[in-house]
Amino acid sequence: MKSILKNKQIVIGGVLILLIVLLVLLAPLITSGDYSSVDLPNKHLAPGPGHPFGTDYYGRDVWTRILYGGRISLSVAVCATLLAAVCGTLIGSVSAYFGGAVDFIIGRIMDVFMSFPMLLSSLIIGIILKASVRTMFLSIGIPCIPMFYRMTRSNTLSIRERGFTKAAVSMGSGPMRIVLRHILPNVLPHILVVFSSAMGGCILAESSLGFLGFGIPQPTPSWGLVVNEGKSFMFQCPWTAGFAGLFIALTVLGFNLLGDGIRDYLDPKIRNSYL
Amino acid sequence: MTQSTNTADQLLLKAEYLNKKFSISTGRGFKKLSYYAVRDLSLEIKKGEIFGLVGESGCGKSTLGSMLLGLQKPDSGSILFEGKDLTNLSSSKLKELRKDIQTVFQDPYDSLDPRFTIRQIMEEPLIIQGIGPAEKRTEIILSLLDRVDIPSDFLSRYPHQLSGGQRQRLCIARALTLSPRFLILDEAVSALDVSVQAQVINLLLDLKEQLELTYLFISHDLSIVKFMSDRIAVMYFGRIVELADKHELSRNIRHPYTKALFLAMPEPDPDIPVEVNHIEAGVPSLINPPGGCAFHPRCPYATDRCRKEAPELREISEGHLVACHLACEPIS
Ligand SMILES: Nc1ncnc2c1ncn2[C@@H]1O[C@H](COP(=O)(O)OP(=O)(O)O)[C@@H](O)[C@H]1O
Ligand code: SF4
Ligand SMILES: [Mg+2]
Repeated sequence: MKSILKNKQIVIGGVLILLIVLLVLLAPLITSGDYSSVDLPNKHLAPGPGHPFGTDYYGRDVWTRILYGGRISLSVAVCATLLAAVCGTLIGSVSAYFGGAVDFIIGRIMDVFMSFPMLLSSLIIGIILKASVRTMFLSIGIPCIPMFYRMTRSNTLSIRERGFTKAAVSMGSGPMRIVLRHILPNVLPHILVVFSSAMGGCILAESSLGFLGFGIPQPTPSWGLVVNEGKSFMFQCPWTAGFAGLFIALTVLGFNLLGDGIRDYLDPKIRNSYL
Repeated sequence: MTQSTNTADQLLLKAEYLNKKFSISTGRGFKKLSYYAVRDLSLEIKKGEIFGLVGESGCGKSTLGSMLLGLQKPDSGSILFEGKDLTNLSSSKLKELRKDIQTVFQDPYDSLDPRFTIRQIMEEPLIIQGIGPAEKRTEIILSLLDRVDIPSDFLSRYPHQLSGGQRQRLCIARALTLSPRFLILDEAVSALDVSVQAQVINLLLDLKEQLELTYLFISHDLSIVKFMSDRIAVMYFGRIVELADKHELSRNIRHPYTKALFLAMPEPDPDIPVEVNHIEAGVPSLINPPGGCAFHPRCPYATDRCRKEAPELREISEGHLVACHLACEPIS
């Protein structure tokens, strides 16, 4: 545990994410709580007392909108990543375990998925599903499945060939026990790494969709939407899009640092135990 | 080692005409190339002996071992363990039989799950086989750890906290948890430092006497096989080319490949004349096996007959089998 804290990337990434999550959770206490009422006389106020991040075109407090927007963006990202992690891990281990035709067919389907840029897949799924807060996570999460699939599949294949799984078979262990006791626990750390970077990817995907106007519809604030609204007044009041962008960037940075950190932390350990 | 001839000749395991073919994709379409890793191989292992199996890397030793262990099914042939054919047992019977045949692999770092503690590693076979209750399992574990000289306060440690020798001793202890009668030791000491090797070899020899075990000792290193084994089978290209009692084999080598192996040993036996030239050509390709005797491209005695006709494994004197056309005359 102590040695985890020696890893700077994990510490910085973790602290960053913790801070943002804390701000977002404490939003009712540290903001006015009113993120939607229009106050036209006070539109486009610069950051100052009462409005730490200024106000937007409708006179809404940007600080409030960003913190409440974080609730939407973060929960969409968590749901999307969880969906991708569960599906990808399941499909990947089944594919690797059965091999042969099953593996081949699943593999080709994943190839098709991966041949589209992720954002395009999200757009297509989003249009089919008519994006709402409830379905947004599907259009972001489904394109992330191949990330988890590939990682789980290749790790399952290599762990299946390891001596300890062969030893377990020679003791009379069935396939279920091997998957649950040996394969999944050894894949888990790799899932964490992918999970962290997928979280960053999903936050970014939500914002990009919002920016392009395919995001979660008005008036629910999400980071993507806040950026989208702000972009039209980029020159009159850069703080709207600017601060929303800053939150997005810091969150993505936090998750990427965490992911890289976990990988570096695990690597020497894994290397030691493999050699 | 005073066994009555009666028990000495009791068979533990008899394998007949084992074949195992692998195929690899060529990278071009669906076309596959196949080759035999083990070919028409028969052998008998007697109760209480150490049966050594030696041959270059890639000759099929591990494939044979994993078939005898029931990890891979042979494409054809039978494996009788105490009369039961383990190639066509029901899965519950096979699980029962697994208690009797256990294994120690080459790489102790690879054969221990890095996420398991020593206790979990030792307990796993007992749990899988439904041996309990927990106190009884602990008792078995502690007595075995004691036998292999691992302190009992290591129970909550992880494999990466152990030295190479300790890990291999742990693998040996784990293999013994189910009280097997037959151990397959596939390169069990090959990955260890020389000093540790001697220690583990002595441990294996002690355990064999104390627990009345039978070993199949597989290694590419003839000097270790020669030290460990009672009988030695020399394997080349998926087949046994010579099989004899250790002393008979040192005295009376009949196969040119065996001779080459003895010559390649670090300390050549002074009894063997050194005039035989070292084998030059490389290992032939499995995919395009040479016709006739598989050894002929490397054999200094090869004749036309060798290039056309594969020699059978024949008994040339009591318990000494050779697969070579020239086997009737000793090599000079
Ligand atoms: N699962 C497998 N698939 C394809 N080829 C294999 C497989 N296992 C072993 N082989 C091949 O079979 C031959 C014998 O391998 P092996 O039994 O491991 O030899 P050894 O233990 O004597 O070094 C080698 O050429 C190896 O590449
Ligand atoms: S059969 Fe011929 S080629 Fe094969 S080992 Fe004997 S002498 Fe050499
Ligand atoms: Mg081998």
